[in-house]
Amino acid sequence: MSFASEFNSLALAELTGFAQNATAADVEAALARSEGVAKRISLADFAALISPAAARPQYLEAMARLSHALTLKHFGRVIRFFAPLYVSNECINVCQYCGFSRDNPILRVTLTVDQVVTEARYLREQGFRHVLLVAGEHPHFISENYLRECVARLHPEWPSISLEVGPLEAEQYAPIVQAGAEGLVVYQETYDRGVYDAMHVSGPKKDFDWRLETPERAYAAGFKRLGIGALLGLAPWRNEALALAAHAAYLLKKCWMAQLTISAPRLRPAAGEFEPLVNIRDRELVQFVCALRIAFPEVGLVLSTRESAKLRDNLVPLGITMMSAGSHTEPGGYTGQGREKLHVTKGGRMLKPELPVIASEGEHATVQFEIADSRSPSEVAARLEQMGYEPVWKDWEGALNEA
Amino acid sequence: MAEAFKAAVDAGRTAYEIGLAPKRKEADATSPLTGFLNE
Repeated sequence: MSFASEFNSLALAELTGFAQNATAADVEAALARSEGVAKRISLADFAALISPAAARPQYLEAMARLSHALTLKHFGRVIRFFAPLYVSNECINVCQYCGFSRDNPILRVTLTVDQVVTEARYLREQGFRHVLLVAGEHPHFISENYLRECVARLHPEWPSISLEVGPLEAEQYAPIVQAGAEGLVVYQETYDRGVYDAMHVSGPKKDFDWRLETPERAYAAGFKRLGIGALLGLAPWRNEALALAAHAAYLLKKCWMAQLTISAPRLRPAAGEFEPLVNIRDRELVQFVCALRIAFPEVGLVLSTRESAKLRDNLVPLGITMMSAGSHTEPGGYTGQGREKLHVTKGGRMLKPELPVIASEGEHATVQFEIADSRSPSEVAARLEQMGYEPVWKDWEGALNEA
Repeated sequence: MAEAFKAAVDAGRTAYEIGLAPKRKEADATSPLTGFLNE
């Protein structure tokens, strides 16, 4: 049974009710069951840990300490570094919250494979050995053959290549895996079907179940790392947290040979000026991270430059295991590749940019969203070392993909 | 040198007046992990 089927039978309404109304005694019981037990806690215990009752300072601190201890036990004092490399900001989908949304009059470009290699070499010089290729969803510009070629060209120089691109069939993923990709990231954005339908106005992304089953197709195609997440700001965060936890628990059982990572990015300002429908405060994000770590001690937790430097530094001891740094969220952002081909896209056709267009500062493609931590990779690495953590630039070797 | 001695005496007196920390069964971080949320 796929997760899409299992998702439909989940008692989410009951669980979210419990997450809202859990008592101090429920939180204490969940915390007691979380400590020193090899067995995974239940979704009901997870619900108690994300409840308003658990946000009280004494419980949140207890969760933070447990989360810290579990992270040290399973990962040590290490943070895996990765860099997003945007290869295209073309997109066929109309999504209300996304800067790349089809109808946004933004400057777009798809890098050639040579340009992708140039951008990647810049990141390599910064120290990165794990790259995440990111693109909008547009079969005309970003075909599976293009992605396979990008991966094949990068593979000799990059031990770890992951993708965050429009969902594909397993048969389409397979050649990309064979070319050297080992990770696939796909965020459901929101697990609320109604909100999902309203946010995704048109395009293939409108199909909720197709997206929900993507990690399973990626696993079937041979990806060794799977990344899932929810974009916080679209639906009540506790509801998203419960669905995300259920998804993670399912994938850990079903796709047990892959490593799983979870991310909970908060919406950032972007073209289109979409305002979050709901807000999640720092305290609640901390609670969410700690609850995820307690429920899934072995799962990687990802934190991007969407969050401020101060918050990122403080979240590191609480369970984060993977971070990006010095990120650009536009194609060509690191070295200016592709600036000679900037255009707007209408009806799949590239047109000369004419005012008014939404452009980011400088002469390059428009960003997907603004980042909040603008420190360089070396500055973030130095800060981690100062905190007693080891920044890990490489933990994988391409040859292992054949194992 | 007199200033250094004065500072040393003050430090000793302050430490004496604060006294020993209470005994606990478990270690207790002096800086709470979530303290930054109150800043």
